[in-house]
Amino acid sequence: MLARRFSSNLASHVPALQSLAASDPSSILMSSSETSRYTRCWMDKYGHTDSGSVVLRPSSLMSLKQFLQYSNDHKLPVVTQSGNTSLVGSASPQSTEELVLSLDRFPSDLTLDEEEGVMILDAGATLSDAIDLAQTRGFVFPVDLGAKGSCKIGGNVATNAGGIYFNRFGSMKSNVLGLEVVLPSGEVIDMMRCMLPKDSTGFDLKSLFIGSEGCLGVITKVAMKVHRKPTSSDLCVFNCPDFDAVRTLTHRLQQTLGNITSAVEIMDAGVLNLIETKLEKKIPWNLNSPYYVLVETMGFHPQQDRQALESFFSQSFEDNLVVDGVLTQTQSQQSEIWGVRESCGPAVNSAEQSWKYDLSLELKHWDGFVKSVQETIGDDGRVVLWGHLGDRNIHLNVVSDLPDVNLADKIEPGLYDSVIRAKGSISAEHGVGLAKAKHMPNVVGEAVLNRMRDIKRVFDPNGIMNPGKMIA
Amino acid sequence: MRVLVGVKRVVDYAVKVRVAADKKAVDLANVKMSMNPFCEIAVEEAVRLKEAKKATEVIVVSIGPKAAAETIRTALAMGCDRGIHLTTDSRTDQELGPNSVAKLLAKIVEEESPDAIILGKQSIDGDFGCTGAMLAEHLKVPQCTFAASIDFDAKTVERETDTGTEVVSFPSLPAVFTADLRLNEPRYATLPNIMKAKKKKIDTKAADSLGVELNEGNTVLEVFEPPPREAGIFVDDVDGLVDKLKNEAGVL
Repeated sequence: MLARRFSSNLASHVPALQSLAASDPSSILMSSSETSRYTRCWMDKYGHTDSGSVVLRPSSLMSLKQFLQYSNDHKLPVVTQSGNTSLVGSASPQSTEELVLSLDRFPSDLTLDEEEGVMILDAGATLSDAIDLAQTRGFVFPVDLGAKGSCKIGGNVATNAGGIYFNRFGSMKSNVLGLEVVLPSGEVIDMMRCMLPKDSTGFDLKSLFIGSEGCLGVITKVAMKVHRKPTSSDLCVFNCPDFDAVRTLTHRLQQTLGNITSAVEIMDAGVLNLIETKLEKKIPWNLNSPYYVLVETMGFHPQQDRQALESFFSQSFEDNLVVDGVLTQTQSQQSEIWGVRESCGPAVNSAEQSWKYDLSLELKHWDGFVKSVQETIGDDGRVVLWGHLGDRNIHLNVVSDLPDVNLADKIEPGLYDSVIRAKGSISAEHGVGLAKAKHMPNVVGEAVLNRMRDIKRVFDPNGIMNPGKMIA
Repeated sequence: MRVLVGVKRVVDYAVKVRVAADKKAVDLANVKMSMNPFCEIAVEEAVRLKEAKKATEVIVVSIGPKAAAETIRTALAMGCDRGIHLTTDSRTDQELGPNSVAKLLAKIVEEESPDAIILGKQSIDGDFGCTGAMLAEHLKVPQCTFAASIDFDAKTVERETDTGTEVVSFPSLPAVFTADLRLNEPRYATLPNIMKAKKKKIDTKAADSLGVELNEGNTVLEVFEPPPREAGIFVDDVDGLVDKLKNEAGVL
């Protein structure tokens, strides 16, 4: 564990921070009524609501550099915060001694080069603005996820965000063409000199920052690949009678519709029931099966694509892989169904208590893991699942009506040990943050973890960036 | 009771349309097309009548290009029994107008003798809102437009007005009804029904083979986007307001 002693009393540095903020008084917040929405995470799980916090909100690169440099010079711990939508406490301070560096006033400009398919975004740009700009110009932004209205691109890159289009457009790493980053020393690192997709010149430092969760530096600008929007799109929900049918269906999808599928998602009856009851949201398809597979296709040949989709489900019916389902006929219907899928997280959060497990597991293990967690918790709770089926990313969630029982104590670390033994990932896309930092030695092994610590020392020698997170 | 429903293939409601370069029409290249939302509501109403055993057959008709057959298939997948497709190469968003459509539908009504004809109140491309009323005139039958609910037993229709709703009664069938937003919430096409719909019959004939004059007599001169909305201004007093309304806005 890296232990750091910080200079005592952040309070003694407040005058200096205030004078750095003099030309832009809104760039520093100190009253607890104003700081609590930064110091507590959106799930109301990580962070604190104590008074005495300092939140810095630079509105320019210069201001950000100055704040960061000052913090580094005086060894003040800094928690960088983008949209504050982290699910693992990456963006939450652990005490009032930690400065919160929020990007909520940071520049948010977007420009798009249509010929090359490149969008340049300031770190403060919201994901949904990026998605909308791409849409209006005939492109698809490669990352799309439920929190898009609040999360910002800087944070998305820093957490190596996945989302629903990972399947079709690839990972954050394959889509980031350039980054501008500010190191704790205040040094600006420009990795946007070449934004063409093929560039084989040296160690790829950009990759280190993708998924670095605020532990190496602050991302201030991003160059993203955007993809030509196919002319037609269809969305189906398939009702599957059991998990074996889901597995066979997924395999067949890859074999026959692989070139046009853009998203392959799954939801179980349990999470849909929560959406209906807790969020009072209408589910516009028949609820008569344990699993529902959502398949979106995008292509350039509407007629052929529709036909391919129709023969696919026709055959699936014959083989009993699918017993019911719907096919959308309008854009509004597509949006309504995605709205249901995006409600999975919020529905679970509105239960009395809930615990989230974001895992990557081979399909053959999914059913077994769900059964095993349910057995572990017995009648104290219910396992519900949804996820990015095509990418093998299961969002295994546990909900409970009991207010006092901590089911995490029963589930962990057993679940994580099993996932590691099954060669899966204990965090497919949510990141490590505070929630999973203690498992890192087990996950990556000491050899790799030591090299990660070496890299941390190169970029953040004083260890001020997000202490205790990720590779504590 | 037998029901005839009209459906139209239009630009999908969610699409942001652009004016074509020649400013004569909207650019439809590669744009997503779907069933007109009010037509979806009309189909839903007809299918519910069948499910309630108040209707024995629902026939869906559409006038449009070859691809309009997909729109008819969607209606069949929602529960209509059979379809009639009148093919035309004229642009249905601006060349083929409501009166021509009404005359064509009247011909179909003569052939099929339905008891009720349900259309959407208006199409979201032409936005005329006239076809239903014109059809009723051609047929010399009652019309109940902007229907928010229809009671075939009591022979009444609650219809939308600018101030709320009013209830009107119709003396007899056949009659024409046009569907407004609150009439119902259309269902999704289920996969089993989509597959069943493949076996349902669609009769295809050319629109100009029905012996109906299709010249609307209207020519579109120009299509343009409305000027961008400007920010509002404050005026100091009533005189200032009157001055602006008279001399700037030109509305007094």
